[in-house]
Amino acid sequence: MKDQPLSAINARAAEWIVERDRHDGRLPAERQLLLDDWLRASTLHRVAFLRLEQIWQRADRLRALHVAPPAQDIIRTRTPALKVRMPRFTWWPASRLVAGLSLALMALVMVADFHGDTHAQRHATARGQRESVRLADGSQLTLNTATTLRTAVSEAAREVWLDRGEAFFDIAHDAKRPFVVHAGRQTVTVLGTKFSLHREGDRLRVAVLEGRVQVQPARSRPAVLNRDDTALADASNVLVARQAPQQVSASLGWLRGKLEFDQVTLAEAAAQFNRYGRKQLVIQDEAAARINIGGIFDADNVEAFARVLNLGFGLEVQTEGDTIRVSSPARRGKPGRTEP
Amino acid sequence: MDNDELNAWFVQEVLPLEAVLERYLRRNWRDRDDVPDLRQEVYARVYDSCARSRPDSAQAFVLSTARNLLVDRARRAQIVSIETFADMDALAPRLDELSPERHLAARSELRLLQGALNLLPAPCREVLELRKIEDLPQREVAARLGITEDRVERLLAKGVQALDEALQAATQGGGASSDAKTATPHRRDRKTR
Repeated sequence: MKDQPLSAINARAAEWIVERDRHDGRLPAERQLLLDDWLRASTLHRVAFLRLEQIWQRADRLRALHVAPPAQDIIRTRTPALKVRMPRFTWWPASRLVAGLSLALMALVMVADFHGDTHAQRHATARGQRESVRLADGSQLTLNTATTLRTAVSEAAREVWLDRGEAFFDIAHDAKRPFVVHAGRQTVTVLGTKFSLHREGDRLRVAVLEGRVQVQPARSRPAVLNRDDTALADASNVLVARQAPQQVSASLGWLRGKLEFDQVTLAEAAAQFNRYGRKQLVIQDEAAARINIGGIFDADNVEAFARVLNLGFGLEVQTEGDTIRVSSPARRGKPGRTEP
Repeated sequence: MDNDELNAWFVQEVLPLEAVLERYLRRNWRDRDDVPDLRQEVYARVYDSCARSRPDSAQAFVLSTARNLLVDRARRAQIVSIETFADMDALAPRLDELSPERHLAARSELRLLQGALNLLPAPCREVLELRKIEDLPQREVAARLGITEDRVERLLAKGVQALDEALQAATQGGGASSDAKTATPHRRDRKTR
């Protein structure tokens, strides 16, 4: 039996890895069978494959070097501002309360809720997972990390209950069956459109990629959102903001496994990362928490993000089990020491 | 195939020991050109013998596998007379090799990768940069460079192997300062371009 030289084995392994990458990480079935055969043929093949695959993945960390086209740095920093940054939201006229009516509406919604539940299908993702679900009407839902929702599609109605988490909705157009999403006490109604909902307890974030979306808070008038609008809704208010298209698609970066930040504080960025992995970022001090962050990162690679914090800002990063502690350099963090 | 767990164990526990393993092999084997082959053979033995049960310490297991392999090889090839190994302790892993070590401090990983990338021949480097730094899918890399997707695939396959070699060179250079002697005139019989 002839021994293949290592270079030939490595070359073959590299070809397989790259071919799979060309197919977005999933080989066509018949190619996968051939790969399996090749891997089974010799443990030397298998270890070469695993090893090069790991190098291929390690190279993903190079993405930290990515420079966003308009800006010059991967992290656009600003000295922690003294003024409090107000979100660019405009208040939807919330003063006009139609309390009685909305209470009645709420009751209706709740009845519908129990009704729909009888034939609802439950879908859930664990932390760090992402999953797509195709509904009977052709609509497609993508669940982000730690998300639970139930769906009920019948001849008469299309309904989803977003129990927790975040999802992207690509809704098939059907004027006769409005698509209704219940998120706690808020209701979102659409005909055919693309949008995302992120539920944090009683608050709901909405971002509209295409079409029109009506958001109905429990105790207020409904608001209609158009393309590129985002909204933050709680029980009695809807804050609507028009965004640049790229900001809306940035907020949907998670569909590709990315977190995109545009001038958010490190505290907010850490909270975003902490939704995805077992490893949790803890920002130790106020000065570090206020640093502004921009850039595109892999949602599932908090270590890479921590490294960028260390390289880019000189922040101190310490990992202990599943906790990654980030703090300002020691001279600022330690009380009692004078500035040099 | 239910190899996923074994594969994951191998990637997480064994591959990070590569620097330790290579240092051990280089210290105990005369011909350095043999080291990559020896390394892969150790990996294969470790992988096969851990298919059923996993050792407590991956590092101790990897090094003792390496030791056994060196003894086997020396006997079979008769490169070294058997007396050399009369004192088998000579091949026992040293204390510093047994101390827990991850392949590199996390903070130097990016620098290491960047340095390795810069060592690659231009065409390989270019496609790797577009694929990995810009995160473009292969078909867009092809469009951006005006070359075929097949060519992109070939360059990437070469690129990942070249990256492997460059990372080897950088790591062997002793971490931070890479040893120019091992890094630059690296044996490379493939022609790039």
